[in-house]
Amino acid sequence: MNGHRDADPAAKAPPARPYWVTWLTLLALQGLSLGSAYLPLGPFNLVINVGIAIAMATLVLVVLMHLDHARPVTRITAVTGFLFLGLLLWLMLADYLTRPG
Amino acid sequence: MAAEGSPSLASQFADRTHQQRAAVLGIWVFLATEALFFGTLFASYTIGRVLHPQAFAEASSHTDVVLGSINTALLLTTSLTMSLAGRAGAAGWRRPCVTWLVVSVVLGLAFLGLKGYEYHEDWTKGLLPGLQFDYSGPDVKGATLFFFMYLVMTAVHAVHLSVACGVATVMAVLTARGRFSAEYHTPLEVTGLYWHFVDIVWIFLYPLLYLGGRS
Repeated sequence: MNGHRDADPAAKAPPARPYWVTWLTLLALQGLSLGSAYLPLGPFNLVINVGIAIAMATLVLVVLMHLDHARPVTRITAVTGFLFLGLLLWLMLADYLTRPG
Repeated sequence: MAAEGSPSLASQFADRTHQQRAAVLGIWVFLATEALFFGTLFASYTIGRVLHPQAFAEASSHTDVVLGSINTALLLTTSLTMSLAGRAGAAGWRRPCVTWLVVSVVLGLAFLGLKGYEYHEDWTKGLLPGLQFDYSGPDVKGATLFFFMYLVMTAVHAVHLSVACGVATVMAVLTARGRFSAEYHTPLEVTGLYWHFVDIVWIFLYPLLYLGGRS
């Protein structure tokens, strides 16, 4: 009935530190994104905002979703989903951004 | 450790590791389809923004950046608490696992509550196309498209987060009943992966819906 089954907790659990560090980094990146949005940078506001979002998503995928020590087949599956999404957005923009007036 | 043929080991798997790997691969395949599902919404948003850049910038400056930012921080925090729940679950620490799951669900519900309050605000300001829309500007058509995307994307995300809260609640109950151990905790792992994915969707929604047109 004891919540702690293991007499030596540190022996079985991976360190929690990377999770806390990732959380603080994510909050800092959110603050950076929010702050940069108020600077008059023209189209670069969007570039910075989306760039920071990609960095944040990568942190979540790699550290919190454990892709850093996932099996190769899991990594391939994860990357394929986002790769195809990127391909579709890229080809769609290749159409819309090159339409005459 | 439970023997072969125990309730937690399905007959088609050779052993626990085999079953665990299949489940983790399965949720990643599901998440890949989810990325493409949300991708169509992001694609629609992108086309709208390409066709109506001014209207999208003007319209997104009307969303509530304070509530949006608080909610983003809340959701990022649930990613931490969910990770800590998964870590406790993997180590077989029953009580810490339940505690972190409950904290995650409470923060998730706080997000949904704030989002609901925000919808109410949008309603009074007339920013919800098809429901209550009273917007005047140079490009009403473009702004309507923005607010339509805002409503659909945040609502679909909220449905996903509600599902995640429901699943996490079930996991908290099962963990409290001693269903999982250091040897078997795959459902906790899979729940965490789904939860983090829902957070990733919001990580992209936040700058696109709340941070445009601020400078």
